[in-house]
Amino acid sequence: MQLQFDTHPRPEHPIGTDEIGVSSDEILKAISRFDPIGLWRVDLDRGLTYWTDAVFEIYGWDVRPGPVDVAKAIEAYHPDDRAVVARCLEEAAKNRTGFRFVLRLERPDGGHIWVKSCGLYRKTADGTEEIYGYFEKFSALTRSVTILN
Amino acid sequence: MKADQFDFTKQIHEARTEYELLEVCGQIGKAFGLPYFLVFSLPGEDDNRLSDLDLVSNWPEFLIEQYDNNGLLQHSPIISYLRSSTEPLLFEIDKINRDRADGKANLAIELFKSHGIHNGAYFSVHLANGRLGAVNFSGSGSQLDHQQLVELNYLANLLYSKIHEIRKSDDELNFGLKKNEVNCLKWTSQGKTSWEIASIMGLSEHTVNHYLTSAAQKLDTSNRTHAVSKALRLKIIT
Repeated sequence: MQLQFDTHPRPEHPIGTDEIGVSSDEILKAISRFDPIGLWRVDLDRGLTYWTDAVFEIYGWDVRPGPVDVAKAIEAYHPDDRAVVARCLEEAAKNRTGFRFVLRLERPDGGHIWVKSCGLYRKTADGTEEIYGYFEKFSALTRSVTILN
Repeated sequence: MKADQFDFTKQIHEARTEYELLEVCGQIGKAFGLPYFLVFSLPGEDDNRLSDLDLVSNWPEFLIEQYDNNGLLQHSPIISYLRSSTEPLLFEIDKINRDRADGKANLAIELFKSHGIHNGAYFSVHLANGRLGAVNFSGSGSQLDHQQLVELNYLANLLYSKIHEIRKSDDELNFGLKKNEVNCLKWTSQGKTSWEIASIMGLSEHTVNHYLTSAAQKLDTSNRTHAVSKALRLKIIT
């Protein structure tokens, strides 16, 4: 199956939430109001990955504390997409950069869904190197609207 | 931009990963004024969808999906050409699609133009085992002159060979990892800390850390995450 490849060396454009009077937490709340948005973090030196509950929900797994079984998480992708997931993580860990992918996740109840994951490198104040990001279902391309009630 | 063929040849030869090569593809395309690239194995007679082929591209998003939804592969004049000739093909979208046998000329032309593809070139490439493929560079800039066509043809062949050389090399290497090193990587991939791995394997935490450091070095990786993800990709661990 085709894989669309792109590099993204564009300069960062920081989002000024202060300018519009909306906090980062409020933005996250708005983004996750309609569909689950999972957050994740990988400790590069320890090789351990951590998820929020929403990531488990999207996978269709029971929530479990502690580091995630990454091998099992990658195995959950479509067979043609597993190497791509591993490669994204590999390149980001090696080059200390980031990635975005849209790939197919196989659900425990059968069938597959499209998911999007975006990750970025950071170095925390105590020197820990990490890749962190968000994870969400990627909906079919169709015009749609959802109203809160 | 003047293309520096020598630099690109060097970059292709020195690329160690497929992703590095694809970055070079993008740079080559931009240097020749044709920023979109498509690298694929030639379809068989029964292949109906471009997206089912073993291909990599940076074509505009959704172009391939729309191409397949409109069933354009079967009577593609370009594929027909590539099956019958190994000479490079310079094309303009209007002209190449004019005589499509399926009556979808206007649809095909509109589709590509709406995604910014007006012209380009296809290069027939092959591996030592005879496997045929094609490399395409396209866009909306000036058409290639003869010298550029020759240079790009050479680079396209280098690219295709190198992509497959890297894929084959990755599959064949075992990196000389010892059993304990592989096991430590496997437990890490399953979310176990060094302390937990030490308990599981009956070793000291210091020894586990040593095995993981050694494994990372043998895999030519810079940290455990890099090592684990590379090992998963190469199926050294599952």
